[in-house]
Formats: sequence, C-alpha cells, structure tokens
Amino acid sequence: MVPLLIGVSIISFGLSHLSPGKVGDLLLRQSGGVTSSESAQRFKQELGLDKPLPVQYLHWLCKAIRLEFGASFSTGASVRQEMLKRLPATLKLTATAFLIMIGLSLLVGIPAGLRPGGLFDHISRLFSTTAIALPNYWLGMLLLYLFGVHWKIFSITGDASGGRVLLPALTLAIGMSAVYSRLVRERFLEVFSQDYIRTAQAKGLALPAILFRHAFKNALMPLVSLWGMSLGYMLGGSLLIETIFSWPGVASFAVQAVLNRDFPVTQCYVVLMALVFSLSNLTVDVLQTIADPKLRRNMQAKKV
Amino acid sequence: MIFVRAFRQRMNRMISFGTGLLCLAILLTGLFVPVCLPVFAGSSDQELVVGCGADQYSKAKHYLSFAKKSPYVWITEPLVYRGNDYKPVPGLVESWERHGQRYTLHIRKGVYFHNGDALDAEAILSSLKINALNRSETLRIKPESYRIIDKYTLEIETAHHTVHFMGFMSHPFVSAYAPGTDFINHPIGTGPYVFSEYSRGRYIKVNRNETYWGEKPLNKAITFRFIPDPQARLLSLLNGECDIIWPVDPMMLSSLPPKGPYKKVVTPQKNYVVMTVNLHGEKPYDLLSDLNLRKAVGYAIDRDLIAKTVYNGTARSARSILAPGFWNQGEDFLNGFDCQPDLARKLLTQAGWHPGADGIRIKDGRRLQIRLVSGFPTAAEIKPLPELIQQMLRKVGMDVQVIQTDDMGVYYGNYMAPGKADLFLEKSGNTGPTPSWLLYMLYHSNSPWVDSGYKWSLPGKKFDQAIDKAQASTDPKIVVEAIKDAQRILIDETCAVIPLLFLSDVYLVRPDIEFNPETCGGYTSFGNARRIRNQ
Repeated sequence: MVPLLIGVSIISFGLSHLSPGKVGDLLLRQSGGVTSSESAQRFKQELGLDKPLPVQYLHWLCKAIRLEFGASFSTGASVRQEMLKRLPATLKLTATAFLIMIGLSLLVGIPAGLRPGGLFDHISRLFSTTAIALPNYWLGMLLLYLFGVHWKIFSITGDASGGRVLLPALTLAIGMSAVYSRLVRERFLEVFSQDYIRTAQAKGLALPAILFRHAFKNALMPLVSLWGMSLGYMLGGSLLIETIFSWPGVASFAVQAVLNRDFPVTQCYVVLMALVFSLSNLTVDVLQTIADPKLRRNMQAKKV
Repeated sequence: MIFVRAFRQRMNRMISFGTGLLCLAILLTGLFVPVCLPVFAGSSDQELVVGCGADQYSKAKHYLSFAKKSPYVWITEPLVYRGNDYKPVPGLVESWERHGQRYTLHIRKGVYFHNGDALDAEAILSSLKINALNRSETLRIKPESYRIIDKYTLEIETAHHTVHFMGFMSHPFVSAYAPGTDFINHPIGTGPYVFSEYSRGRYIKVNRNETYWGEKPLNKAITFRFIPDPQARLLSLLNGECDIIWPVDPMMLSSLPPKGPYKKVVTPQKNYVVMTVNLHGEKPYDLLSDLNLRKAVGYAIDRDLIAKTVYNGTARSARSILAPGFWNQGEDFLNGFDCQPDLARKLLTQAGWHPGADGIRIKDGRRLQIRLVSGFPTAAEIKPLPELIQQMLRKVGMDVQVIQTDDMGVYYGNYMAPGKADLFLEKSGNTGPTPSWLLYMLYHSNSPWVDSGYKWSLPGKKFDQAIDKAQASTDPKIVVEAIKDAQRILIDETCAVIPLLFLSDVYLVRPDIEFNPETCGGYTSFGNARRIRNQ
C-alpha cells in the first residue's frame, strides 16, 4: 500500500503543478487584492512555490510522513484539521448511502430474481431503468423540493447531524442500487437454477431457509468485490450531493481547492482517498477469503 | 397440503400487490396534498436568516476576509464611506486634507470598538498596517510615512499619483480593527454588527451593535447561511428557512414559480457584462483586428432581447462599461451598438466576407470563425449568454466556437494571457471609487494586470492619456470629461470593448420582509432589512 500511496501522491503533485494559471497571481486575486506581477512573485516565494518541483515534493513528503499537510492557501487553516473536521460527514454520508444501496438492490433484486417475468420483476426493471437514467443532480433537486418545500420534513440548511443524512444518501445510492439490483436479480436467477437449490426445495425447506442457508452466499459473493469498489466511487462522487444538500464534507472542499490551486489540500485529499480506496478493497478481499471456502482452499494450496 | 401451499402463495401475492397499491396511493396523495409539519423553527421577529453563496472566508492573514469578502457582515467599517455616486463621505475619518500625495486624516471622536476601546489615530495606524498584509496595491501607502500628529490626527503618504486616493479608503477592506485583537478568528471593529459565531462552510452570525455611533440596524441579529448550490438556495427561501437569498442568477430567476412566497428586490444597475476584444491577436485569432468585424459583432447582438428573456427585466442594454449613475456621467455621450443585424451584414460584406454554402462567411478561402471564451468570474454566472451570442452572430454569418470555463486559472492561463481567443465574455462591476480605476486596471498600458491578458485589448496611447488626465485632476468636471473621452476611444473608436448589459443585484425576500439593499454605495448592508408584522 505504501508504494501505491507514494505513486499516487507523485502523480497528483505533478498534475496539480501543471494546471494552468500563475499560482501566486491566482491566490492573491482570490483574496481580492489588486496585485502586480512582482507582489504575486514574492507571495509565491513565501509559499515555497518557486522551488524546483522535486524539492517541493520532498519537502511535502517529509511533512506528510508525520501527518502534517501544511496550511491551506485559501482558508489558512491546517489541512489536517480541515480534513478531520469534514471527513466524518463524508464517511457518514458514504456509509449510509452504501447501506441503502445494498439494501435497495437486495430488496428489488431478490424478489425479481425469484419470480422472473412476474409483476414485481417488471416493476423492478422499470425502477432500474428510471433510476439509471435520472441525473443525480436532478434527482437530488426533486427530493429536496418534495421533502424540503412540499412536505417540509427536511431541512435544506441544516448540519450533518441526525437523520438529515438520509436524503443525500438516498440520492447517492439510488443510481448505483439500480445497477446492482439487476445484477442481484441475475445472480439469484442463476443460483436458483442450480441443482443444490432444487434439492433443498425437494427436501421441503422453506424459502427463507433456502435463501439464507444456501442461496445468499453463492449469489452475492461475486458482488461483494463490486460493492467494495463502489464505496470508493461513492467517496469521490459525493461532490454533487454535498453541493446540492450543503453537506459539509470533504469532496466539495477538495474541488474548491482544485479550482483555487490550493495544492496542500489537493494533495492531502488525493492521498486520503487513495488510502480509503485501498483499505476498502483490502477489506473486501479479506471478507471474501473468509466467506468463500473455495478461495481459502486455493490459498492454502498455493502456500503448500 | 398442496392446496394449503397454493392458498398461501396466493395470499402472499395478494398482500404484495395490495401493499404496492397502498404505497402508490400514499405517494400520489403526498404529491398533491402538501403536508406542513413544524419540524424546524423559522427566524424570530427581529432576527433574520440570509442565504448566500459558498463560504469565501479565510483564516489566511492576507485575506482579511471578514471585511473584504462577501457577504459583507459589517463587523468592521471602512475609514470613509461611499456615497451612492461613489464619492467618499466622512466615516471613521471625519475630514481630511490633501497636500500632493500626503494626506492628513482627522479621526472621528466618540467612536468605540466592540470591546470598549476608543478609536483613535493609533488604532487607525495599526489597522492600516494590518491592511498592508493583503499585499494589495490599492493604497500603496509608504510605510515610512506614517505620522501621528495627535490623538485624533494621522498623516500618511501614498505612492499613488491619483487625486482620488480617499475614494480607495472607502473599500470595506480598508477597515478599522481593535489593536491587539485577533482580526483573523474573532474580528473586533466599530461596525453596526458584532461578531457572534462562525462555522466554516455553514454560517456566520452577527448581533446588532447596541452602542453603534451611526444609524443602528433595524434587525437584532443576522445569520448568513452558506448555500453554494443556487437551486438549493432558492428552495431554502421557498420553504421559509431563509428570509433573504442572494446572489440570484438568471437560471434561478427562470426557475421561480409564477406565484410563491417571495418578492424580488432589485438594485439600480451597476454591474456590467461586456465582451473584451482581442485587437492585436496572432493567427488564427487575428480576425477581429479588423474594425469592421468588431463593429459587426457589436451590431449583431440584440441586447434588449437578452435583458428581457434571460434577466427577466433586471438588466438593460448598455452602451458604456461604467454605470451611468457613476459620478453622474450618463450614457448619451456614447453611440454604442444598437441591434442592427443588416448593418452588421453590410459591414462584413464591405470587409470582403461573403456568405458560403452553409451561411458562414468566407474570404480568400478562410471561414469567418471566431472563438468566444466565457468567462469572468465564472462561466456559470453568465450562462446562457454565450449560446445566445453564438446564435445571434450566426445569423449574420459568423461561426462562433464557444468555450466555457469556471476555472480562473484556465480562463487567464490558457486563453487570455496567450491571446488564444477573439472575444472574452466578462461580468463585473466597478468596485473602485473613481471612474478611472476600472478603465485603468483593465485597459491602460501601465496597468499591473496587463500581463494577465488585457494587453491584447489595449486601445492605445490616446486612451492612456485620457485616463492619466482623469487621475491627475481634482476638478470633477474635468475628470468626468476625461472618462467620457476614454470610453469613446474604448468603445466607439477602437471597439476594444463591446458592452452588452448593465445588471442589477437581485435579492429574493420573503413577503413579510422589508429590505432596501442600496445603502452603502455598492456594498450591500442588510441593516435596514426587517420583518413586517401581521404578514
């Protein structure tokens, strides 16, 4: 994981500094100053941005090892503190969206898979097609209008506490749950055509017993790794949601940092996301190994 | 057994179907029958909630953001105020004298900071040194020139040669801070509001200063909530969470319901939208070096239509770049560009450009294709102007490639500085107090912003001389005449700038709110906003 993080940080560092515009000039313009090239250049020197890129990177790396990411050029606050303040909100949003996504995809996909061609199957297909086609932004606005203005049961300007996470999480989860519900449907359709399920039915096992004892593990195992990757995409793709719902998360802060050429924040964000992405994939791999006896056997065979 | 199983299956199906129908019925009922549950309390009688854009405040020392950045919360005050004609009026500095570039400032007595300290010359001196952290070259006060004459008199010298220096002191960022206090995290000023609480990205709260030396605000407290998304901001007004929202862009205006719990409050027009022209570009961005083509662009655009359809009447067509009320200069001295597409076509034909098979004009095998880059400050704020301009220019036979960017670095770094476009669409306002400030900064050959890209649009020596004359004169009549000359050169003679619109600031307020935003010569104060009873 460490080489991965270093590689990611080098790439993002290089790309950030390649972005157009004179950095010192841009930063001073944002503060509203009337600046000359000389004052912009002096400001750039004060921030250490006039040094060669490898020197700047090594300087950053030495601090990053100690978990010091410097001060934001735009907000002036410590990057670590800003990220730590915002990260819980993003994690809360992502975790809730993740659970909703899994729940919705199972709720819609399993009954559709059990009764292919039935009424529920048609309804689930309609739901999936609609949910995939709906732009996230539009859906978020619609939900905000319904729950915030029409029914007035959701606060548009509130903070990240309590149940306010439900609506943004739902908006984030719906699109992806539509895709996964179709995958769940296909998997259950395939699993229920297997002989061992037919045997279980012939034995007289009730449907819940067949589902939980035999079908779930086999049907959902391939989807676990996909869900793990979705977690990473959700973390990065929550920008629109954070903007619409004024959610105080990391993504919107990071995008503003990119526009403002706020390199310390951009660097910290990229490394943080790479770390979270790697950890989520690692967790998924471990879970799969624990849950799937075939994988465990293969690994043991390789060791031998 | 088989019958029992079949019956159970049938019951399950009926239950599922019934549940589905019930859910559908609830959803449809909910859509058509609004349910109002008192989940959150609105603001109280004398406390207001203002929904504004993204949080621009910063703890970086050079930002001085609580004084400088929108929303202006008026915790601190500038040293002089700005009248509605943009001329300086006494504020914390009660009077002043000018001796060349030296100024003697007389501080108002009986004014106190929020912590009880008295405002005096020492405090002003300390504040000017804080302002110098901004690195802005607006004041250019010589550090060695500060001299305290007595408790309420201070002398300074500026490197500016303009006689309008005091006008610069009316900008909110030239503010008075209580000496020895934390101006970054907890600013203490003399303003009509006292800092209460700030939560980054969420809100800033201020309370009324009960011992304010001037006219006290009508409201007891204001909470400014940061709501970056324009549509979400609009919804927060409609559901009552905000009493006032601002800024309001054209897309928000177009999505307003015809009837609703809001009313529009509009300021006199003071901001502009213009196209800056690349006069001196290199191929392929050299087409507009031809004056006939520049004029054709100007005549092809129907400004009244844009003002009516996009801005819903909150804008009007412009002939100049400075608002007519600015130093009462008016607009009649300029010809500007009316919408005359036939004249535009005639000018293009005279320049040797003839319509091709697809309607786009060609000359010597070269298509009349120009590039328009939108825009300043961001493309989102000027939408959908680029598309409208593209359509209007196409009607006279010009093909326009539109590039839109919200990134200022890309706008300046990729397009403006290297001159890689023909037209640059910009929305801004003259925040400087003098009529020459904006024109100097953008189009004078000695401007510090020349290297940013405005060098491609420099009108030339005659313009520079007119601006220099305006900056050097103390006689308002000479200043106004010089500015008029400069604008004639800029717009009518060289067409370096093609004015499009003057824009108002638009606020949307709840019906029970009374508010007049035009109080501080261009810098919004919400001090006179109040809730009207029995509404």
